[in-house]
Amino acid sequence: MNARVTVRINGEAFAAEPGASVASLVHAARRSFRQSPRLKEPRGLFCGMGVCFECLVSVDGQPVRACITPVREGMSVEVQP
Amino acid sequence: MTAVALHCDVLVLGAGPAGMAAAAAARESGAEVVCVDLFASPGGQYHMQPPSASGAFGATSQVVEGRAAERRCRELGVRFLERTEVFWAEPGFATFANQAGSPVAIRSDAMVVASGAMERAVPFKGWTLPGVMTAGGAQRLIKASNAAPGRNVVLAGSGPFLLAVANTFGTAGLKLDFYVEMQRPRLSALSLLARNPGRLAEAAKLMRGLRRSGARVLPGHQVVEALGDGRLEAVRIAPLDASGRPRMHDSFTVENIDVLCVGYGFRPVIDVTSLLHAAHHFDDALGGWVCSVDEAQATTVPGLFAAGEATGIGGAVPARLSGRLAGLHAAAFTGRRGVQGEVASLRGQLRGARNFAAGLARLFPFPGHLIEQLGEDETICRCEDVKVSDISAAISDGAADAFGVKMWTRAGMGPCQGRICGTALSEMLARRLGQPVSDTGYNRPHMPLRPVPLAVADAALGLMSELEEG
Repeated sequence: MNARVTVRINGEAFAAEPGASVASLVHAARRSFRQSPRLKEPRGLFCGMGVCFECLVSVDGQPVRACITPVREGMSVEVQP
Repeated sequence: MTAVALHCDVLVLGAGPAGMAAAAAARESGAEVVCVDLFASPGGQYHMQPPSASGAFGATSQVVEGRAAERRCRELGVRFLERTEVFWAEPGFATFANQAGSPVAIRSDAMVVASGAMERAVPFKGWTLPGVMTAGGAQRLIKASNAAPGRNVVLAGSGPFLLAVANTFGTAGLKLDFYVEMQRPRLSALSLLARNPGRLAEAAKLMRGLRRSGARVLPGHQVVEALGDGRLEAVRIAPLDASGRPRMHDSFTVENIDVLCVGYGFRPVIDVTSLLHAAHHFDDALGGWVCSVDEAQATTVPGLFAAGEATGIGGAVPARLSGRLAGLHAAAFTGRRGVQGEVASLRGQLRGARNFAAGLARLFPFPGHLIEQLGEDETICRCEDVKVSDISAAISDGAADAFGVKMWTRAGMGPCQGRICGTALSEMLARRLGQPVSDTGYNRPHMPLRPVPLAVADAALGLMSELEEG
Protein backbone atom coordinates (compact mmCIF):
# COMPACT_ATOMS: atom_id res chain seq x y z
CA MET A 1 0.00 0.00 0.00
CA ASN A 2 1.27 3.44 -0.93
CA ALA A 3 1.60 6.25 1.58
CA ARG A 4 -1.78 7.92 2.11
CA VAL A 5 -2.52 11.58 1.65
CA THR A 6 -4.90 13.53 3.86
CA VAL A 7 -7.75 15.49 2.31
CA ARG A 8 -10.38 17.55 4.14
CA ILE A 9 -14.01 17.40 3.04
CA ASN A 10 -16.05 20.20 4.66
CA GLY A 11 -13.36 20.28 7.38
CA GLU A 12 -13.36 16.54 8.14
CA ALA A 13 -10.11 14.66 7.44
CA PHE A 14 -10.06 11.63 5.12
CA ALA A 15 -7.15 9.40 4.09
CA ALA A 16 -6.83 8.75 0.35
CA GLU A 17 -4.64 6.79 -1.99
CA PRO A 18 -2.33 9.04 -4.06
CA GLY A 19 -3.61 9.25 -7.64
CA ALA A 20 -7.22 8.58 -6.66
CA SER A 21 -9.85 11.13 -7.70
CA VAL A 22 -11.48 13.58 -5.32
CA ALA A 23 -14.76 12.10 -6.57
CA SER A 24 -13.91 8.62 -5.28
CA LEU A 25 -13.43 10.10 -1.81
CA VAL A 26 -16.58 12.26 -1.75
CA HIS A 27 -18.67 9.43 -3.23
CA ALA A 28 -17.51 7.05 -0.47
CA ALA A 29 -17.92 9.63 2.28
CA ARG A 30 -21.34 11.06 1.47
CA ARG A 31 -22.74 10.15 -2.01
CA SER A 32 -24.23 13.62 -2.50
CA PHE A 33 -21.99 16.19 -4.24
CA ARG A 34 -24.22 19.18 -4.78
CA GLN A 35 -27.76 20.49 -5.10
CA SER A 36 -29.39 20.90 -8.49
CA PRO A 37 -29.80 24.56 -9.48
CA ARG A 38 -33.58 25.01 -9.49
CA LEU A 39 -35.16 22.07 -7.64
CA LYS A 40 -32.36 21.87 -5.02
CA GLU A 41 -32.29 18.08 -5.32
CA PRO A 42 -29.23 16.20 -4.08
CA ARG A 43 -27.02 15.01 -6.95
CA GLY A 44 -24.23 12.46 -6.90
CA LEU A 45 -21.42 11.27 -9.11
CA PHE A 46 -22.97 10.42 -12.48
CA CYS A 47 -20.76 10.17 -15.57
CA GLY A 48 -17.52 9.97 -13.59
CA MET A 49 -15.41 11.08 -16.55
CA GLY A 50 -15.66 14.82 -16.89
CA VAL A 51 -18.78 15.13 -19.07
CA CYS A 52 -21.78 15.86 -16.85
CA PHE A 53 -20.54 18.33 -14.17
CA GLU A 54 -22.71 16.72 -11.47
CA CYS A 55 -19.62 16.26 -9.27
CA LEU A 56 -18.76 19.96 -9.18
CA VAL A 57 -17.07 20.78 -5.85
CA SER A 58 -14.81 23.51 -4.55
CA VAL A 59 -11.16 22.55 -4.11
CA ASP A 60 -9.04 25.15 -2.32
CA GLY A 61 -11.60 27.75 -3.39
CA GLN A 62 -11.76 26.80 -7.08
CA PRO A 63 -14.75 25.06 -8.72
CA VAL A 64 -13.61 21.74 -10.23
CA ARG A 65 -15.07 18.46 -11.43
CA ALA A 66 -14.12 16.07 -8.64
CA CYS A 67 -13.96 13.10 -11.06
CA ILE A 68 -11.02 14.52 -13.03
CA THR A 69 -9.19 16.02 -10.06
CA PRO A 70 -6.60 13.82 -8.32
CA VAL A 71 -6.25 14.11 -4.53
CA ARG A 72 -3.32 16.08 -3.17
CA GLU A 73 -1.90 16.25 0.38
CA GLY A 74 -3.55 19.02 2.37
CA MET A 75 -6.31 19.63 -0.19
CA SER A 76 -9.46 21.27 1.15
CA VAL A 77 -12.72 20.18 -0.52
CA GLU A 78 -16.00 22.01 0.05
CA VAL A 79 -19.20 20.19 -0.89
CA GLN A 80 -22.69 21.74 -0.83
CA PRO A 81 -24.52 20.48 2.30
CA MET B 1 -2.26 35.87 -16.58
CA THR B 2 0.02 34.94 -19.49
CA ALA B 3 -0.85 32.20 -21.96
CA VAL B 4 1.58 29.60 -23.22
CA ALA B 5 1.78 29.70 -27.04
CA LEU B 6 2.71 26.48 -28.82
CA HIS B 7 3.34 25.74 -32.49
CA CYS B 8 3.25 22.30 -34.07
CA ASP B 9 2.51 20.55 -37.35
CA VAL B 10 -0.13 18.19 -36.02
CA LEU B 11 -2.30 18.79 -32.96
CA VAL B 12 -3.96 15.64 -31.63
CA LEU B 13 -7.01 16.04 -29.39
CA GLY B 14 -7.33 13.09 -27.04
CA ALA B 15 -4.76 10.61 -25.74
CA GLY B 16 -6.81 7.42 -25.87
CA PRO B 17 -6.01 4.51 -28.21
CA ALA B 18 -6.83 6.55 -31.34
CA GLY B 19 -5.07 9.72 -30.21
CA MET B 20 -1.86 8.01 -29.14
CA ALA B 21 -1.77 5.98 -32.38
CA ALA B 22 -2.25 9.18 -34.39
CA ALA B 23 0.39 11.07 -32.42
CA ALA B 24 2.98 8.30 -32.82
CA ALA B 25 2.30 7.89 -36.56
CA ALA B 26 2.53 11.63 -37.23
CA ARG B 27 5.72 11.91 -35.18
CA GLU B 28 7.28 8.89 -36.96
CA SER B 29 6.54 10.72 -40.20
CA GLY B 30 8.61 13.66 -39.01
CA ALA B 31 5.85 15.99 -37.83
CA GLU B 32 6.06 18.04 -34.64
CA VAL B 33 3.17 16.75 -32.52
CA VAL B 34 1.30 18.07 -29.50
CA CYS B 35 -1.31 15.80 -27.91
CA VAL B 36 -3.80 17.23 -25.39
CA ASP B 37 -5.98 15.26 -23.01
CA LEU B 38 -8.40 16.02 -20.19
CA PHE B 39 -7.05 13.49 -17.73
CA ALA B 40 -3.96 13.53 -15.52
CA SER B 41 -2.25 10.82 -17.55
CA PRO B 42 -2.60 9.61 -21.17
CA GLY B 43 -4.64 6.50 -21.96
CA GLY B 44 -8.25 7.63 -22.25
CA GLN B 45 -10.92 5.35 -20.84
CA TYR B 46 -9.63 2.17 -22.47
CA HIS B 47 -6.01 2.41 -21.29
CA MET B 48 -6.91 4.05 -17.96
CA GLN B 49 -3.98 3.74 -15.55
CA PRO B 50 -4.39 2.53 -11.93
CA PRO B 51 -3.09 4.66 -9.03
CA SER B 52 -0.49 1.99 -8.23
CA ALA B 53 0.96 -0.70 -10.52
CA SER B 54 0.62 -3.37 -7.81
CA GLY B 55 -3.18 -3.41 -7.89
CA ALA B 56 -5.55 -5.86 -9.61
CA PHE B 57 -5.24 -4.04 -12.95
CA GLY B 58 -1.49 -3.25 -13.03
CA ALA B 59 -0.71 -6.27 -15.24
CA THR B 60 -3.85 -6.33 -17.44
CA SER B 61 -3.27 -5.98 -21.17
CA GLN B 62 -5.28 -2.74 -21.36
CA VAL B 63 -3.01 -1.09 -18.78
CA VAL B 64 0.26 -2.58 -20.07
CA GLU B 65 -0.53 -1.71 -23.72
CA GLY B 66 -1.50 1.81 -22.67
CA ARG B 67 1.79 2.33 -20.84
CA ALA B 68 3.69 1.01 -23.89
CA ALA B 69 1.81 3.35 -26.24
CA GLU B 70 2.51 6.32 -23.98
CA ARG B 71 6.20 5.39 -23.67
CA ARG B 72 6.47 5.03 -27.44
CA CYS B 73 4.94 8.50 -27.94
CA ARG B 74 7.30 10.07 -25.40
CA GLU B 75 10.37 8.36 -26.91
CA LEU B 76 9.33 9.70 -30.32
CA GLY B 77 9.05 13.21 -28.88
CA VAL B 78 5.28 13.70 -28.77
CA ARG B 79 4.54 16.57 -26.41
CA PHE B 80 1.65 15.65 -24.10
CA LEU B 81 -0.46 18.32 -22.41
CA GLU B 82 -2.35 16.56 -19.63
CA ARG B 83 -5.33 17.96 -17.68
CA THR B 84 -5.98 20.15 -20.69
CA GLU B 85 -9.40 20.94 -22.09
CA VAL B 86 -10.07 22.68 -25.39
CA PHE B 87 -12.69 25.42 -25.07
CA TRP B 88 -12.42 26.94 -28.56
CA ALA B 89 -10.84 26.29 -31.96
CA GLU B 90 -10.56 28.24 -35.21
CA PRO B 91 -10.04 26.66 -38.63
CA GLY B 92 -6.57 26.65 -39.97
CA PHE B 93 -5.88 25.89 -36.89
CA ALA B 94 -5.77 27.92 -33.72
CA THR B 95 -6.84 26.02 -30.62
CA PHE B 96 -7.46 27.45 -27.17
CA ALA B 97 -7.33 25.37 -24.03
CA ASN B 98 -7.40 25.44 -20.26
CA GLN B 99 -4.59 23.42 -18.68
CA ALA B 100 -5.75 22.98 -15.07
CA GLY B 101 -6.26 26.73 -14.70
CA SER B 102 -3.50 27.90 -17.07
CA PRO B 103 -4.25 29.30 -20.54
CA VAL B 104 -2.75 27.58 -23.60
CA ALA B 105 -2.99 28.61 -27.28
CA ILE B 106 -1.81 26.23 -30.00
CA ARG B 107 -1.14 26.93 -33.69
CA SER B 108 -1.10 23.81 -35.90
CA ASP B 109 -1.26 23.10 -39.64
CA ALA B 110 -3.31 19.94 -39.17
CA MET B 111 -5.50 18.55 -36.44
CA VAL B 112 -6.54 15.01 -35.54
CA VAL B 113 -9.67 14.88 -33.39
CA ALA B 114 -9.65 11.69 -31.33
CA SER B 115 -12.07 12.97 -28.73
CA GLY B 116 -13.55 9.55 -27.99
CA ALA B 117 -16.99 8.76 -26.72
CA MET B 118 -19.32 9.46 -23.84
CA GLU B 119 -22.20 7.50 -22.36
CA ARG B 120 -25.38 7.44 -24.43
CA ALA B 121 -27.44 8.19 -21.35
CA VAL B 122 -31.08 7.08 -21.13
CA PRO B 123 -33.12 8.83 -18.41
CA PHE B 124 -35.49 6.69 -16.33
CA LYS B 125 -37.59 7.10 -13.20
CA GLY B 126 -35.32 8.14 -10.33
CA TRP B 127 -32.12 8.48 -12.38
CA THR B 128 -31.04 11.70 -10.65
CA LEU B 129 -30.74 10.06 -7.20
CA PRO B 130 -27.18 10.05 -5.80
CA GLY B 131 -25.96 6.46 -6.14
CA VAL B 132 -27.19 6.12 -9.73
CA MET B 133 -24.20 6.43 -12.04
CA THR B 134 -23.06 5.41 -15.48
CA ALA B 135 -21.39 2.04 -15.98
CA GLY B 136 -18.31 3.84 -17.31
CA GLY B 137 -18.19 6.05 -14.22
CA ALA B 138 -18.25 2.99 -11.96
CA GLN B 139 -15.48 1.37 -13.98
CA ARG B 140 -13.39 4.51 -13.66
CA LEU B 141 -13.88 4.53 -9.85
CA ILE B 142 -12.59 0.96 -9.64
CA LYS B 143 -9.73 1.16 -12.13
CA ALA B 144 -8.41 4.69 -11.73
CA SER B 145 -9.11 5.27 -8.03
CA ASN B 146 -9.00 1.73 -6.64
CA ALA B 147 -12.40 2.45 -5.04
CA ALA B 148 -15.49 0.27 -4.63
CA PRO B 149 -18.51 2.05 -6.18
CA GLY B 150 -20.83 0.68 -3.48
CA ARG B 151 -21.63 -2.20 -1.12
CA ASN B 152 -24.67 -3.64 -2.88
CA VAL B 153 -24.49 -2.89 -6.56
CA VAL B 154 -26.76 -3.49 -9.56
CA LEU B 155 -25.28 -3.22 -13.07
CA ALA B 156 -27.94 -2.69 -15.72
CA GLY B 157 -28.42 -1.67 -19.33
CA SER B 158 -27.40 -3.28 -22.58
CA GLY B 159 -24.34 -3.97 -24.68
CA PRO B 160 -20.86 -5.47 -24.66
CA PHE B 161 -19.47 -2.70 -22.46
CA LEU B 162 -21.78 -3.80 -19.64
CA LEU B 163 -20.01 -7.15 -19.70
CA ALA B 164 -16.63 -5.39 -19.62
CA VAL B 165 -17.71 -3.49 -16.50
CA ALA B 166 -18.92 -6.71 -14.84
CA ASN B 167 -15.47 -8.11 -15.58
CA THR B 168 -13.93 -5.03 -13.94
CA PHE B 169 -15.92 -5.74 -10.76
CA GLY B 170 -14.92 -9.42 -10.86
CA THR B 171 -11.24 -8.70 -11.52
CA ALA B 172 -11.14 -6.22 -8.63
CA GLY B 173 -12.68 -8.82 -6.32
CA LEU B 174 -15.82 -6.73 -5.95
CA LYS B 175 -19.28 -8.26 -5.63
CA LEU B 176 -22.18 -7.44 -7.96
CA ASP B 177 -25.71 -8.20 -6.76
CA PHE B 178 -27.48 -8.19 -10.15
CA TYR B 179 -26.46 -8.01 -13.81
CA VAL B 180 -29.50 -6.85 -15.76
CA GLU B 181 -29.22 -7.00 -19.57
CA MET B 182 -32.13 -6.11 -21.87
CA GLN B 183 -31.11 -8.59 -24.55
CA ARG B 184 -31.36 -12.35 -24.27
CA PRO B 185 -28.48 -14.55 -25.44
CA ARG B 186 -28.81 -15.23 -29.17
CA LEU B 187 -27.27 -17.67 -31.59
CA SER B 188 -26.12 -14.78 -33.76
CA ALA B 189 -23.69 -13.88 -30.96
CA LEU B 190 -22.01 -17.26 -31.32
CA SER B 191 -21.87 -17.01 -35.09
CA LEU B 192 -20.32 -13.52 -34.85
CA LEU B 193 -17.58 -14.89 -32.56
CA ALA B 194 -17.15 -17.96 -34.79
CA ARG B 195 -16.44 -15.61 -37.70
CA ASN B 196 -14.00 -13.61 -35.50
CA PRO B 197 -12.14 -16.30 -33.52
CA GLY B 198 -9.58 -13.73 -32.42
CA ARG B 199 -12.24 -12.12 -30.23
CA LEU B 200 -13.37 -15.40 -28.65
CA ALA B 201 -10.75 -15.38 -25.89
CA GLU B 202 -11.72 -11.81 -24.99
CA ALA B 203 -15.41 -12.73 -24.74
CA ALA B 204 -14.59 -15.79 -22.60
CA LYS B 205 -12.46 -13.66 -20.28
CA LEU B 206 -15.31 -11.17 -19.79
CA MET B 207 -17.76 -14.00 -19.06
CA ARG B 208 -15.38 -15.38 -16.42
CA GLY B 209 -15.16 -11.91 -14.85
CA LEU B 210 -18.96 -11.68 -14.70
CA ARG B 211 -19.07 -15.09 -12.95
CA ARG B 212 -16.41 -13.97 -10.47
CA SER B 213 -18.50 -10.91 -9.56
CA GLY B 214 -21.15 -13.33 -8.23
CA ALA B 215 -23.92 -11.38 -9.93
CA ARG B 216 -27.35 -12.86 -10.38
CA VAL B 217 -27.71 -12.57 -14.17
CA LEU B 218 -31.08 -11.39 -15.52
CA PRO B 219 -31.17 -11.36 -19.33
CA GLY B 220 -34.31 -9.91 -20.92
CA HIS B 221 -34.86 -7.58 -17.96
CA GLN B 222 -34.64 -3.87 -17.33
CA VAL B 223 -34.26 -1.61 -14.29
CA VAL B 224 -37.39 0.53 -14.53
CA GLU B 225 -36.97 2.67 -11.42
CA ALA B 226 -34.40 3.86 -8.90
CA LEU B 227 -35.93 4.42 -5.46
CA GLY B 228 -34.71 6.21 -2.36
CA ASP B 229 -35.00 9.26 -0.15
CA GLY B 230 -32.11 11.58 -0.99
CA ARG B 231 -29.98 8.66 -2.18
CA LEU B 232 -30.46 5.31 -3.85
CA GLU B 233 -31.93 2.62 -1.58
CA ALA B 234 -33.66 0.17 -3.93
CA VAL B 235 -34.23 -0.62 -7.60
CA ARG B 236 -37.27 -1.94 -9.43
CA ILE B 237 -36.63 -4.57 -12.09
CA ALA B 238 -39.07 -5.77 -14.75
CA PRO B 239 -38.90 -8.60 -17.30
CA LEU B 240 -39.35 -7.52 -20.92
CA ASP B 241 -42.01 -8.84 -23.27
CA ALA B 242 -41.34 -10.00 -26.83
CA SER B 243 -41.48 -6.43 -28.13
CA GLY B 244 -38.95 -5.24 -25.52
CA ARG B 245 -41.51 -3.48 -23.29
CA PRO B 246 -41.33 -4.04 -19.50
CA ARG B 247 -44.06 -6.24 -18.00
CA MET B 248 -44.76 -3.99 -15.02
CA HIS B 249 -47.16 -6.41 -13.29
CA ASP B 250 -44.27 -8.89 -13.08
CA SER B 251 -41.76 -6.31 -11.80
CA PHE B 252 -40.12 -6.66 -8.41
CA THR B 253 -38.17 -4.41 -6.03
CA VAL B 254 -34.69 -5.22 -4.75
CA GLU B 255 -34.11 -3.44 -1.43
CA ASN B 256 -30.83 -2.41 0.15
CA ILE B 257 -29.08 -1.39 -3.08
CA ASP B 258 -26.77 1.61 -2.67
CA VAL B 259 -25.34 1.89 -6.19
CA LEU B 260 -26.94 1.35 -9.59
CA CYS B 261 -24.61 1.48 -12.61
CA VAL B 262 -26.39 1.97 -15.94
CA GLY B 263 -24.98 1.72 -19.44
CA TYR B 264 -26.59 1.60 -22.89
CA GLY B 265 -23.40 2.11 -24.86
CA PHE B 266 -21.75 5.26 -26.13
CA ARG B 267 -22.09 8.22 -28.44
CA PRO B 268 -19.24 9.98 -30.24
CA VAL B 269 -17.87 13.26 -28.86
CA ILE B 270 -18.21 15.64 -31.81
CA ASP B 271 -18.07 19.11 -30.32
CA VAL B 272 -14.71 20.15 -31.82
CA THR B 273 -15.39 18.66 -35.26
CA SER B 274 -18.83 20.30 -35.40
CA LEU B 275 -17.39 23.57 -34.10
CA LEU B 276 -14.99 23.50 -37.08
CA HIS B 277 -17.95 22.82 -39.44
CA ALA B 278 -16.94 19.33 -40.55
CA ALA B 279 -19.82 17.30 -41.99
CA HIS B 280 -21.51 14.80 -39.67
CA HIS B 281 -24.10 12.13 -40.25
CA PHE B 282 -26.51 10.12 -38.12
CA ASP B 283 -25.95 6.37 -37.75
CA ASP B 284 -27.80 4.71 -34.89
CA ALA B 285 -25.48 1.65 -34.89
CA LEU B 286 -22.41 3.91 -34.61
CA GLY B 287 -23.82 5.78 -31.59
CA GLY B 288 -25.87 8.56 -33.20
CA TRP B 289 -24.19 11.62 -34.72
CA VAL B 290 -20.69 10.79 -36.00
CA CYS B 291 -18.03 12.83 -37.74
CA SER B 292 -17.90 11.85 -41.43
CA VAL B 293 -14.47 10.84 -42.75
CA ASP B 294 -13.07 9.41 -45.98
CA GLU B 295 -10.58 6.54 -46.37
CA ALA B 296 -7.76 8.84 -45.22
CA GLN B 297 -9.71 9.70 -42.01
CA ALA B 298 -10.00 13.21 -43.48
CA THR B 299 -13.11 15.20 -42.58
CA THR B 300 -14.72 17.62 -45.03
CA VAL B 301 -12.50 20.41 -43.63
CA PRO B 302 -8.99 20.57 -45.17
CA GLY B 303 -6.34 19.55 -42.62
CA LEU B 304 -8.91 18.30 -40.12
CA PHE B 305 -8.80 14.55 -39.51
CA ALA B 306 -10.83 12.45 -37.09
CA ALA B 307 -10.26 8.98 -35.68
CA GLY B 308 -11.61 6.46 -33.21
CA GLU B 309 -14.98 6.73 -31.51
CA ALA B 310 -15.57 10.27 -32.84
CA THR B 311 -16.02 8.63 -36.26
CA GLY B 312 -18.35 5.94 -34.92
CA ILE B 313 -18.41 3.70 -31.84
CA GLY B 314 -16.33 0.59 -32.45
CA GLY B 315 -13.94 0.09 -29.53
CA ALA B 316 -10.18 0.13 -29.18
CA VAL B 317 -9.19 -1.91 -32.25
CA PRO B 318 -10.71 0.35 -34.93
CA ALA B 319 -9.64 3.31 -32.79
CA ARG B 320 -5.97 2.35 -32.96
CA LEU B 321 -6.10 1.57 -36.70
CA SER B 322 -8.01 4.72 -37.66
CA GLY B 323 -5.75 6.75 -35.37
CA ARG B 324 -2.64 5.51 -37.12
CA LEU B 325 -4.19 6.27 -40.53
CA ALA B 326 -5.21 9.75 -39.40
CA GLY B 327 -1.72 10.47 -38.02
CA LEU B 328 0.00 9.39 -41.24
CA HIS B 329 -2.33 11.44 -43.45
CA ALA B 330 -2.22 14.48 -41.16
CA ALA B 331 1.59 14.44 -41.30
CA ALA B 332 1.45 14.15 -45.10
CA PHE B 333 -0.97 17.11 -45.18
CA THR B 334 1.65 19.25 -43.43
CA GLY B 335 4.25 18.27 -46.05
CA ARG B 336 5.97 15.60 -43.98
CA ARG B 337 6.98 12.25 -45.39
CA GLY B 338 3.76 10.76 -44.06
CA VAL B 339 1.91 8.12 -45.97
CA GLN B 340 3.99 5.01 -46.65
CA GLY B 341 3.29 1.47 -47.77
CA GLU B 342 1.30 0.38 -44.70
CA VAL B 343 -1.82 2.39 -45.55
CA ALA B 344 -3.53 -0.29 -47.68
CA SER B 345 -2.98 -2.90 -44.97
CA LEU B 346 -4.27 -0.54 -42.25
CA ARG B 347 -7.41 0.17 -44.28
CA GLY B 348 -8.06 -3.55 -44.73
CA GLN B 349 -7.65 -4.21 -41.01
CA LEU B 350 -9.87 -1.23 -40.18
CA ARG B 351 -12.66 -2.55 -42.44
CA GLY B 352 -12.48 -5.91 -40.65
CA ALA B 353 -12.53 -4.32 -37.20
CA ARG B 354 -15.45 -2.07 -38.18
CA ASN B 355 -17.38 -5.07 -39.51
CA PHE B 356 -16.97 -6.89 -36.19
CA ALA B 357 -18.09 -3.77 -34.31
CA ALA B 358 -21.13 -3.46 -36.59
CA GLY B 359 -22.01 -7.12 -35.90
CA LEU B 360 -21.82 -6.47 -32.15
CA ALA B 361 -23.94 -3.33 -32.50
CA ARG B 362 -26.64 -5.37 -34.28
CA LEU B 363 -26.78 -7.73 -31.27
CA PHE B 364 -27.38 -4.81 -28.92
CA PRO B 365 -29.52 -2.22 -30.74
CA PHE B 366 -29.86 1.10 -28.91
CA PRO B 367 -33.19 1.06 -27.02
CA GLY B 368 -34.34 4.55 -27.97
CA HIS B 369 -37.93 3.51 -27.22
CA LEU B 370 -37.15 3.56 -23.46
CA ILE B 371 -37.69 7.31 -23.52
CA GLU B 372 -41.42 6.66 -24.01
CA GLN B 373 -41.50 5.23 -20.46
CA LEU B 374 -40.33 8.50 -18.89
CA GLY B 375 -43.19 10.20 -17.00
CA GLU B 376 -44.02 13.90 -17.35
CA ASP B 377 -42.66 14.70 -13.88
CA GLU B 378 -39.20 13.14 -14.49
CA THR B 379 -36.08 15.22 -15.05
CA ILE B 380 -34.55 15.00 -18.51
CA CYS B 381 -31.90 17.77 -18.41
CA ARG B 382 -29.96 17.36 -15.18
CA CYS B 383 -27.96 20.59 -15.52
CA GLU B 384 -30.96 22.90 -15.73
CA ASP B 385 -33.59 20.77 -13.92
CA VAL B 386 -35.82 20.57 -17.01
CA LYS B 387 -38.66 18.07 -16.74
CA VAL B 388 -40.42 16.08 -19.44
CA SER B 389 -43.50 18.28 -18.90
CA ASP B 390 -41.39 21.34 -19.88
CA ILE B 391 -40.38 19.59 -23.11
CA SER B 392 -43.99 18.63 -23.80
CA ALA B 393 -45.05 22.26 -23.36
CA ALA B 394 -42.30 23.43 -25.72
CA ILE B 395 -43.35 20.92 -28.37
CA SER B 396 -47.01 22.04 -28.06
CA ASP B 397 -45.80 25.62 -28.52
CA GLY B 398 -44.02 24.67 -31.73
CA ALA B 399 -40.46 23.61 -30.85
CA ALA B 400 -39.49 21.14 -33.57
CA ASP B 401 -35.80 20.34 -33.06
CA ALA B 402 -33.12 20.10 -30.36
CA PHE B 403 -32.18 23.75 -30.78
CA GLY B 404 -35.80 24.91 -30.48
CA VAL B 405 -36.32 22.90 -27.31
CA LYS B 406 -33.14 24.38 -25.87
CA MET B 407 -34.33 27.95 -26.57
CA TRP B 408 -37.74 27.20 -25.04
CA THR B 409 -36.70 25.26 -21.95
CA ARG B 410 -32.92 25.67 -21.31
CA ALA B 411 -32.52 21.87 -21.79
CA GLY B 412 -28.96 21.47 -23.06
CA MET B 413 -27.89 24.96 -21.99
CA GLY B 414 -26.11 24.00 -18.77
CA PRO B 415 -22.48 23.14 -18.12
CA CYS B 416 -22.65 19.79 -19.95
CA GLN B 417 -24.07 21.54 -23.04
CA GLY B 418 -26.58 18.81 -23.77
CA ARG B 419 -24.05 16.02 -23.85
CA ILE B 420 -25.98 14.00 -21.24
CA CYS B 421 -29.59 14.82 -22.25
CA GLY B 422 -28.98 15.19 -26.01
CA THR B 423 -29.70 11.59 -26.98
CA ALA B 424 -32.87 11.40 -24.90
CA LEU B 425 -34.13 14.77 -26.12
CA SER B 426 -33.68 13.78 -29.75
CA GLU B 427 -35.38 10.41 -29.23
CA MET B 428 -38.28 12.10 -27.43
CA LEU B 429 -38.69 14.81 -30.08
CA ALA B 430 -38.54 12.30 -32.91
CA ARG B 431 -41.19 10.09 -31.33
CA ARG B 432 -43.53 12.96 -30.43
CA LEU B 433 -43.21 14.60 -33.86
CA GLY B 434 -43.19 11.34 -35.83
CA GLN B 435 -39.96 12.07 -37.65
CA PRO B 436 -36.53 10.39 -37.88
CA VAL B 437 -34.15 11.06 -34.97
CA SER B 438 -31.69 12.62 -37.42
CA ASP B 439 -34.22 15.37 -38.26
CA THR B 440 -34.11 16.67 -34.68
CA GLY B 441 -30.48 17.75 -35.15
CA TYR B 442 -27.99 18.17 -32.36
CA ASN B 443 -26.79 20.92 -30.08
CA ARG B 444 -24.48 23.27 -31.98
CA PRO B 445 -21.31 24.05 -30.04
CA HIS B 446 -20.94 27.51 -28.54
CA MET B 447 -18.12 29.46 -26.97
CA PRO B 448 -16.88 28.12 -24.63
CA LEU B 449 -17.15 24.38 -25.38
CA ARG B 450 -16.46 23.78 -21.67
CA PRO B 451 -16.79 26.09 -18.70
CA VAL B 452 -13.52 28.02 -18.36
CA PRO B 453 -12.42 30.82 -15.98
CA LEU B 454 -12.78 34.18 -17.77
CA ALA B 455 -9.17 35.13 -17.09
CA VAL B 456 -7.96 31.87 -18.69
CA ALA B 457 -10.16 32.35 -21.76
CA ASP B 458 -9.13 35.99 -22.07
CA ALA B 459 -5.40 35.23 -21.88
CA ALA B 460 -5.56 32.30 -24.33
CA LEU B 461 -7.79 34.08 -26.87
CA GLY B 462 -5.57 37.15 -26.58
CA LEU B 463 -2.96 35.23 -28.55
CA MET B 464 -5.29 34.60 -31.51
CA SER B 465 -3.85 37.27 -33.84
CA GLU B 466 -0.29 36.31 -32.93
CA LEU B 467 -1.03 32.66 -33.76
CA GLU B 468 -2.67 33.54 -37.08
CA GLU B 469 0.44 35.47 -38.17
CA GLY B 470 2.61 32.71 -36.93
